[in-house]
Amino acid sequence: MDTVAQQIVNALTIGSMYTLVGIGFTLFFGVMGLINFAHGEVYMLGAFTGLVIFWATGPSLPTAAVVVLMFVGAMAVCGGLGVAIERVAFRPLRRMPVLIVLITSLAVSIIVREGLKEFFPNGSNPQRYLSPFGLSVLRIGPVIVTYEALILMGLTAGLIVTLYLLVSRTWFGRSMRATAEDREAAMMMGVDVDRTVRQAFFVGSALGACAGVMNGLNYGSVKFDMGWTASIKGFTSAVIGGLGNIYGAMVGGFVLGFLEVFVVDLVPKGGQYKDVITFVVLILALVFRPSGLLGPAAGRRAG
Amino acid sequence: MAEVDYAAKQATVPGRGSAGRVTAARAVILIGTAMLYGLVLFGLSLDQTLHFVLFACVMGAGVYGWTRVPVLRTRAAALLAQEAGFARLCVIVAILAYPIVLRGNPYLIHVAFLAGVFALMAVGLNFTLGFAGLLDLGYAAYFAAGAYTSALLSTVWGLSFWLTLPLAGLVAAGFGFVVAWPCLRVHDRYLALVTLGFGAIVELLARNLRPITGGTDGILNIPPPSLGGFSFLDPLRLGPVTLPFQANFYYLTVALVGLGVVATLRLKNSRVGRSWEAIREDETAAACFGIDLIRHKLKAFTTGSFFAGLAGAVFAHAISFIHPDNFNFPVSMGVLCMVVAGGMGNVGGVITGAVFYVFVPERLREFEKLRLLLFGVSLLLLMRFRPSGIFPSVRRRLELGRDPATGATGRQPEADRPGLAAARSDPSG
Amino acid sequence: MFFETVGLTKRFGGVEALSSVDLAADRGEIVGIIGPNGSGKTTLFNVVTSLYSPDSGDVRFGDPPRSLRGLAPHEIAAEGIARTFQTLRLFLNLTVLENVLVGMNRRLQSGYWKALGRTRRFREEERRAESEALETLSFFGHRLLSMCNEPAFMLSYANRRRLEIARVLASRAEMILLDEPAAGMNPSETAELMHDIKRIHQMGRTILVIEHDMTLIQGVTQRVVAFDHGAKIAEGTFVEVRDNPLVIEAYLGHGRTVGHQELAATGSDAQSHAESPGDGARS
Repeated sequence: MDTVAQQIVNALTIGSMYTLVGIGFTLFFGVMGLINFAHGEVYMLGAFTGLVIFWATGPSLPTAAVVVLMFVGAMAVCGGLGVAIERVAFRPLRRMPVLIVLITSLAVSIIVREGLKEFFPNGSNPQRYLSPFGLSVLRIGPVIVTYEALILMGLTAGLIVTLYLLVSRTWFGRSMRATAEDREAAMMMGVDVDRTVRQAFFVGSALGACAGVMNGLNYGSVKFDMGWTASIKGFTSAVIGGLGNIYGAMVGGFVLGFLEVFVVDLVPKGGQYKDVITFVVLILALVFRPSGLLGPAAGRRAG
Repeated sequence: MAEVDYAAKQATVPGRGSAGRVTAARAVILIGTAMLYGLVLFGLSLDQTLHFVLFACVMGAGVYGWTRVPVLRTRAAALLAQEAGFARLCVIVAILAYPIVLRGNPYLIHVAFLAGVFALMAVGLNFTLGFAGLLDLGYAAYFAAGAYTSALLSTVWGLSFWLTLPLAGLVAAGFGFVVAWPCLRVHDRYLALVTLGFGAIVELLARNLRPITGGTDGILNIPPPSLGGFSFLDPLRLGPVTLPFQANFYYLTVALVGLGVVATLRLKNSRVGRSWEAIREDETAAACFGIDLIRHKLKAFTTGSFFAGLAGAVFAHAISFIHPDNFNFPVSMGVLCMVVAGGMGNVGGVITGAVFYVFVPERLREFEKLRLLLFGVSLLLLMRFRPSGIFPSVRRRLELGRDPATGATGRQPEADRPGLAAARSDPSG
Repeated sequence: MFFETVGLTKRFGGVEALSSVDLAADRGEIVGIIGPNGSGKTTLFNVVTSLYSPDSGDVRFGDPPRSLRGLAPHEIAAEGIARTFQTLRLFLNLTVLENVLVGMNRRLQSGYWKALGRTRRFREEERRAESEALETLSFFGHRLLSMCNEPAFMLSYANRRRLEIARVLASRAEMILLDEPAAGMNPSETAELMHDIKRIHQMGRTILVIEHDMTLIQGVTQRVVAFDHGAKIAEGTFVEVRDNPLVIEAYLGHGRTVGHQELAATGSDAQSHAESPGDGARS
């Protein structure tokens, strides 16, 4: 039976992945007011990119190098892809009503998902993710921690700290926060909004891709439709932290992770309804506190 | 078709001119309808994907050319406005004649039936999204509610279809009400996600609540409707002609869609319809003029979901087997796109959208595997280049910017005339 | 008092957009509201029409007066208050006629089921509503009437402003709030607007007008109230307010007094928004 400590480890593991994806959503929402359904597919592509890199380099390079390459490669490729998507699909739609942009992001997600399914060798089936660590695990007391999970948590922690510093200390971070708060004002203050948006897309997509690789390493397999669930979970994480609030997103994923793990544990037959729980949380959050945990509760009534 | 209901408002005196002119106009409409009908049937008969693609390209080019010549369009619009009633009659006859003409090909009648089911849903979502502007991304949930309700009531309690049909609608409307309730305070952007969440929850519950929904096995052996002694699985005898049983379901769906269209038109030109559209255009201003946002949004949602429920019931009893996969997100997306592409609020356009959505992939069977991919690509292109939709309500076209395809639309907004207080009336026509 | 606000206060974050505002209007009065950008004028309208809820204070309206506190915007409309918007808020994809019909909304009865059933009562009401709407449009002569079946986005800017007013007229609201009705209009359009506002006044309506155009304020209003930084700083006739040193300071900045001519001159250019270096760009 799983102890609380074990559950905590599980929650942290899952939470890490959700957080990384959620940060992307919050970034996109912040700089472009955009709910980007395509982000989940970028996450999926990150996982597959990692897989390809593994196939290419696995046999010939030492484990550590392979893992590093997988992450770096996935982040670089998908970061670039994110920028490309922004340029091609979203930039021309800057002034369009929300509905159009939403549908566009859905269209992009369909294209990416189906494209991979069709054109990747054996794309419609799950792909095995061979972990460089094999089956060895670490035991801390009664708790079993896989090496993958360790890397996951460690990497996530590192990324979050880096991002935090980036956002709070650098010009880049300030531009992003300014653009998120008031685009026009930011432009007038000399912020190159276009560049900021590009950078936000790069960072968000890279983090998402990273989460994808982590997912593969952690669960041992990836499939072309993994992006859909990730989108929802990631988006919920972003909402919990407050859409547009980067600091909130860093926390939101963990909150969701803990919620999921412990509810599944406590509710009978919880496993089946795990996703339902996520959706319910999402709905409750959107309805009652759309500004999330770290933002002020909405005060205004209309327009 | 948008130009028909739009220009019809402006038509003052019916049947002006001599009787001869009226007959000539009607003849033109009749011939035009027949020709279009013939073309459509020809296109449907093309079995080979390549032929169909060529055909589609030719048709597309024809339509494009048509839009490029303003004279043709305005003449056609005027003609249709003048003889609107007759034109509608022609269309109705064409629709009713379809199974008769295609009685040798039950498969195509079945496809048309499916198009009808989607059309019914499109008509429903048109209330929620097209009129009131509420983003419902989980529309399939009500479709599921109606289908499962009707299926369960008839398999478990043996109720007649004619009873389960309206009940399915009501249950689905109830679902819509429940979903809408929390959504009312939620801003536009978030509404989409909340409804998406509900849609997903319903699908997940359908998959997991084995004892009720049969889980992933679904519900089987749903009985077909029957009227008197006549079962819908019996071939339909119309005088000298015998139609395959698929025609029964086709006509049933056509009747329901017809009801939906009537409801749409009646509500559109009424205080409620105007209130909905006002909410879509500017919610804040609408509230300032006495429109109770909450009640109106609820009405729109429940009306929309009611039709989805009807569609679900018909679907269940025609296919006789339902399964959670029938009610997933792509279904919601599809109906959404029909409404957006068909033109928000334009009931003729959304029905046409439904027809295209169902028929085109059927003809592109060879590309079955790439179907979703192509769908995504065409959606992307549509949003990029013609976001106002394929059959834009004339109104929306200009809202979203000048249309690159048509160039000079012939309708320019009034020029601001600085200086002169004496304003003349008509802008350029 | 037919209309009054008592100690109305509204804060956004740390900023007090309205500071304990006491404003009153008698039935049938036209009151002008002036002040630099960001002084709280539109916020006042938004609070009165319940688009924002006040942090403290009350709004009383009617004969006999009743508190409007806690009512939703659509209920305020039912009480008999209607407004135009500083940034036009027309229903652009509806026809001109339909815009006016929506304005009449609170006075129509037929609901959902009557519309579906197309009952006789429904049809009659629609007929009457349409003819009344056309009559309302005729207030502006043939300008709007000729476009009555065109979608509102086809209207020129000045006509859009007129349509907003027509929409308000259609509601037969007893009190009308006009928020910068002359914005973007040239002098001749403004003169016509002044004439139109006077005509509305003659119909017995109570009117509050926010404007920057001093010619209009001077020509149309009976009493003027000046705002700055969310508080009422002066009240009286136009001349009294115009010459009030507090008002002059508010428009032109502290420590800079200026002659009458300069302040009056701000009225002739319809586009000017007097901005002082001290004021933040709040709006």
